[in-house]
Amino acid sequence: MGKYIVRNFVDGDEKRIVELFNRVFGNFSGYVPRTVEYWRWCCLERPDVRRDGIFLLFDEESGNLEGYVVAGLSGNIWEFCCIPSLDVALFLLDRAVRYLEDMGVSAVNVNVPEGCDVLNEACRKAGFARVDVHKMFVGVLSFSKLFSILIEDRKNFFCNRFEEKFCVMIRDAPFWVEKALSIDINRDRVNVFEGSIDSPTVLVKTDVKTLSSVLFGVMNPVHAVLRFKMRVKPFWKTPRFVEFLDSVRLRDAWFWPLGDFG
Amino acid sequence: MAFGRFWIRGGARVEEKVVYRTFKEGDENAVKSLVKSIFGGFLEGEYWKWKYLDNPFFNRQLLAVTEINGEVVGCNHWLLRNFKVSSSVVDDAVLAADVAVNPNYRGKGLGSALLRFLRSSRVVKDKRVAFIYMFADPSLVKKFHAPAAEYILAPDGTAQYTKVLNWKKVKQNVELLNKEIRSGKLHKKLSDDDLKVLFRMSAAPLLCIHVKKDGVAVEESLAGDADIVLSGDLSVFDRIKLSKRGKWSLFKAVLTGKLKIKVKLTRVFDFFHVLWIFEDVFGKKMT
Repeated sequence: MGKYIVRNFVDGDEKRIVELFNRVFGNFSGYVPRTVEYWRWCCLERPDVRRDGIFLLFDEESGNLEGYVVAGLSGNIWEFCCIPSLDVALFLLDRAVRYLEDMGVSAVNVNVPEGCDVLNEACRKAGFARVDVHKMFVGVLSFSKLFSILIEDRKNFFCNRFEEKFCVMIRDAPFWVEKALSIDINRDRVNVFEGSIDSPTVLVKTDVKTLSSVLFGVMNPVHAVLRFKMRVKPFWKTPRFVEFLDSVRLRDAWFWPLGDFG
Repeated sequence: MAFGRFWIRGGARVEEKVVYRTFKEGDENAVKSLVKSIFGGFLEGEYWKWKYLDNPFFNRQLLAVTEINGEVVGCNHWLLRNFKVSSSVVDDAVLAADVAVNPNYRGKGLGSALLRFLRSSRVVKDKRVAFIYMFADPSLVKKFHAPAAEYILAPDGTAQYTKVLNWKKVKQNVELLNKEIRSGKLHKKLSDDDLKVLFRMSAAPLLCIHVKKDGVAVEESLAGDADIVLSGDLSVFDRIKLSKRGKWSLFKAVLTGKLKIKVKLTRVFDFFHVLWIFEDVFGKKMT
């Protein structure tokens, strides 16, 4: 382990903390991107967090912030973030646990991304056990908006790959989602809107649960078709629509730091 | 949104005026006390104020209340936040936070109506919010949230870890139990002979529960031999604790090898006779 300096939070550290958080978890999704204002509210002003429960670890030579941990007196480690180094992660975790032990806390909880081996190993080595108590659930409020933001990200790919007019009809749609939506893709642009399109090349009938599950990546579009939860007309266009959904759907698993939970 | 509805209470038809509306000036205390009565210390006073009123994302148009004859009996909090949808997309999303309905008015569809009420909110429509998310106990979602509001499991890639530092709360629970035993209110039988049960859980200190003729004692170390040793993962104990069918879950965990049990054969029946003690002690808050 290199030489590090550990100290508690002082005013003015927020900017560096936020930068580190957004850099370290940049490849993950499912959380609220940190801004100074949000971080101050989420961690610093939280009723169970005291400044002596926020530990920052700096590299002695460069002075760079390498990691930090925010420990609350309720036993929750609201934020735990560091550069991918097992030593740094273990050191910070150990410091937080010792602090909470001194404060008379009975149990400590921490969340880390499943895909981050270093943080997971640090938790195991620090004597933590995995207990997935809470689950995250999601519901769609607007399918057309969801399609838009997922397509917008790789617009050129869709323009080059598909030239179709998809119309999706949603069976038993509750009042807050559209009964039909259309996706018109040609070489120059992608247009997603509520309602049906004239002379669609592909017409799809499905339900809210199936379409949501496919778009959030928890159901494979092929399974949805094979289980007759999604009917495509004309039938021979099924592989085309499945390919489209497979390109649109989310692929990243979401990570929620405890601070975002409540 | 207001409408009249009635239900039968004590054989008589009771008409009540139900109003669903957004939060307004003067609702603060009623909402706070409702939330406190349901979530206990977790959301009381300062915490509720911090979580909602001080929140940079708080919008009073996204806090719905249900009023029956002028009394606030339900509330639902939404927070419109920035959200990282994928590694390169950030957009608005709604966090569905605390939903609370006064226990006297449950089972009448008020909670489901509250879940749906905010979905017609102007704020959400104007911003064209794509989705809503929340954190909850899966069994509650299956029974309540999914049928009322079409929630599905999110692509969750979060590893949740816990480490137990001490058994302070279990000791408090045992003290309460001993008080009940001593007061003679409890008509359940304790063990005829002393019974020592040792719990070896991962990520937790040793816990030895000593059932005596006149009460229960807790030790964080083992003095002498234990009659029963239960060892396994903390998550397995957690699941048994949360399960409504405690004994069956215990059997299942033993049969599937998730929980190891070492027992002196002569004490098996004694153990089953006092299982209610463990249900009582662990049933309350453990850590």
